[in-house]
Amino acid sequence: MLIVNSLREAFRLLLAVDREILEIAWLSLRVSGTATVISVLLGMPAGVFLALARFPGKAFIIGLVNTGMGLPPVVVGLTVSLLFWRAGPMGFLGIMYTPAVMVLAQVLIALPIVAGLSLAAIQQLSPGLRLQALSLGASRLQTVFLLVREARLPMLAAIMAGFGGVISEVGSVMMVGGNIKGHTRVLTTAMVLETRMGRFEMALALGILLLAMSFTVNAILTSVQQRGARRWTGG
Amino acid sequence: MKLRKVMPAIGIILAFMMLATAGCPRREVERTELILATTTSTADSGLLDVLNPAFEERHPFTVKTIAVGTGEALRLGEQKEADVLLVHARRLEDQFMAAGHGARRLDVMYNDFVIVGPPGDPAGIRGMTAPGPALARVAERQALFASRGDNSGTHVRENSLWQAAGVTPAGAWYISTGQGMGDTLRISSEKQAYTLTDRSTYLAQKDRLELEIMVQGDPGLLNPYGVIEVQGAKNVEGAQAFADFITSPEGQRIIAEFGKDRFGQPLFFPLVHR
Amino acid sequence: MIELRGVVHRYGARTVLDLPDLEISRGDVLGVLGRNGSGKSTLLRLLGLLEKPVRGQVFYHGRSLEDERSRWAQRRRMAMVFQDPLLFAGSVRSNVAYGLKVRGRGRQEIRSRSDHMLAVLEIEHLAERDAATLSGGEAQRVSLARALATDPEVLFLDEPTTNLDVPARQSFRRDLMGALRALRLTAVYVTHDPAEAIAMCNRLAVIAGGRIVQDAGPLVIWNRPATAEVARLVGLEAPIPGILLGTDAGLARVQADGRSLTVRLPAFPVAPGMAVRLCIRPEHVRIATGPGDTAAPAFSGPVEHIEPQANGVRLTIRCGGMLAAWLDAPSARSLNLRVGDLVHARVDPDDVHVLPEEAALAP
Repeated sequence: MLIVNSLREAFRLLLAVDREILEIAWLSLRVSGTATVISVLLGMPAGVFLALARFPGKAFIIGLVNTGMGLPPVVVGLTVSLLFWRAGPMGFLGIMYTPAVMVLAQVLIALPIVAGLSLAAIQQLSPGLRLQALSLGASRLQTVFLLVREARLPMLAAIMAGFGGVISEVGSVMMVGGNIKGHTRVLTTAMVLETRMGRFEMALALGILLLAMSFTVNAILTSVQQRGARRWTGG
Repeated sequence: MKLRKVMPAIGIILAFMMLATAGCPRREVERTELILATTTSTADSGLLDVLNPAFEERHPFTVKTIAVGTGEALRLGEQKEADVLLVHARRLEDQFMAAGHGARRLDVMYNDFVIVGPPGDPAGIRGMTAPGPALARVAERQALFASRGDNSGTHVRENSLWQAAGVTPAGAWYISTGQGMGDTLRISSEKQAYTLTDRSTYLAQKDRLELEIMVQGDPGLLNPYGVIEVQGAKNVEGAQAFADFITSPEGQRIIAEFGKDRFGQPLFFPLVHR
Repeated sequence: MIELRGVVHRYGARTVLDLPDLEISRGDVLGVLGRNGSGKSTLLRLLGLLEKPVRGQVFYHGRSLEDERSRWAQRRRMAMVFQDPLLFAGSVRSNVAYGLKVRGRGRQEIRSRSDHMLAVLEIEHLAERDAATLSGGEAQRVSLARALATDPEVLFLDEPTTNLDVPARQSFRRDLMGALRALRLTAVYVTHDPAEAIAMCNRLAVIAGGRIVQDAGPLVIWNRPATAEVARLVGLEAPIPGILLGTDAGLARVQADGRSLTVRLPAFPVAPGMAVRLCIRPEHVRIATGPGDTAAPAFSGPVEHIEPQANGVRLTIRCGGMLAAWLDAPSARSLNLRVGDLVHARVDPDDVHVLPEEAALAP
């Protein structure tokens, strides 16, 4: 059977540890990791702010964020391309088909996910928690920190969802990165290429590598969170 | 125990799937499906949108076109996932036939490759006819060159052209995009790089590209297409009918006419009935 | 210590609180009694400076707190316990330490003060436990310890026992009372349980529809509710109708159920012939089956309904209106009453509380 053979061959290729594959995997991790970090730095405060602040037009902005969570990567890729192509308004920067613009596109994909899930994470807390912290003398900032800490599990899920969303997407990195070998080729675009070339075993091997990487990153995040919880408990 | 818990869920999902498909009327039950695997460049040209309806009018088959890379197309044939192939990579096609995967291979048509490049022509190859010396100069001047690098028919041809030029392309000037022809043209335009392209894809996108034809007209740039009936295919009859059709006077006439209205020149030239 | 002047609070167009004047003095343990939605929790949030009234001012120590900075500074001198324990993730000890941590106190002080509070509330053994694993009673105790650890000058409690089972409720109440006394705390205790309010508080304000309808000692409210609404809240459901006949030296004569009774002079202006309602607490009614007693019975009538209770029996007697009476278990056994039996009820004049008819009939 094709699938069994492909799997066997995929594992053989993985064990062979090809230098080019390692470089592709490392670029995937770097691009999507950077995009996730930026999205968390921007999106988490934004989500928390949206959850706690009261201002006119809030419902509209929340609606926008929630819509953005389902933004198709291809739409992001196309929009970023139109902006950064040489004839586009940002073309003078000359960053099209570089990892920098791939990070930018992935930030646009991950930011609404992180912001939207952070918002939901804070909103699902008991509303009394905020009052309880304030009534115990916490300042506004201290209250925000407490709420974020109380929501750390769903917050962590927000980070993982953001990372999972970008490490696995192909639509935008293919368009803005160009899948250029040794330069902007990442695991997902390499998988598309290998599939087009009929090298299904290689595509599958790359898929397994992608899953393994996702799993490792999530496992690290989870263990960081567990250690954090223990530290707090230790008081 | 666990399985028993999951079973109702599976049942519900299956029921939904059946409901979802129940609404689709099967208009002509007697029609059978014919799977055609072809290259993205062929599909992108729009030729099949004219050719397939004409074929379906005469034969009781519904053509399902799968547009993939040449490598994947041949691989799909090997797995008998496709009934008939329309590809343009002669060397790979011959290997495919030699391995016994194909029942019959027929020449269909050809178009030609051109080398395009930035209007500034940094390598100074404009107007050359022979691709070998042109490529050698590109390599010598280290001018940017974009390669599809996807083992497609175009890529395979590009490789043999480099070989003929006696150059092994490598280095920062040689960009391997791993994408289809349209995307590679776009990247070439953005990076102001040279690239090898089939004429039809270039013509279709010319208006949005900052690229001009530099090298053309050499016999070594001809790009012949072949149709292959897959050995032991599910729909052998359909595969034969399709191969017969596109090599018939009728099919060849459609090929010869295609593109004249849009580009003022044909994109493909028939190989059987001229 | 705390004063509310002309406070009006609204959510949208709905006025939830309208308090022209409320003062809380040092040492008050003020119960706030009201139904759900009466505005009592809102009052607590205004007092706790967690919300700002739409109109009016809240004064602490004579100062009106307008800017967020001074409100925050004052918040650090009080603490709150809510209906839900609202414990934070982490150990019991880290929860109790939270108020001190946000105040930036030193490690040593935090440790010793939170240990002290754990000891006062007898939960030292829970110190290292994960707060999420506690029972309801334990959690509420931790919540109380967390509030008290900050050494507040005033403690606000919002129905802290509502979610507890009966034994946990009793022991929580006992320890809370002990702590309030030992620390000489000023407290505001919101509840919908009149018995709890009487047990816990030295002053009781009854709130209905966002207004304070009676503010007095707990027993005054228990025995002499000012309005029918208050009467219902303290468990006097169907006052008996009567006619005021006349007054005489601090007493009044009232006709009810075809008899004339002498009762204490009501607090509102009276005139002969006015319709009144008589409120009598069930536990103040003495029941007899025969006319053996020397004093004339106030009411006579058949038993309408018998409701067995945990520690006795509650009777409803038809006599002009419906009179509720409570029998302790031994009396209930010896009288062995059945529905329809004729009984006589005697009540001390002091224990009959007269409300004007219009108030009694008001919703």
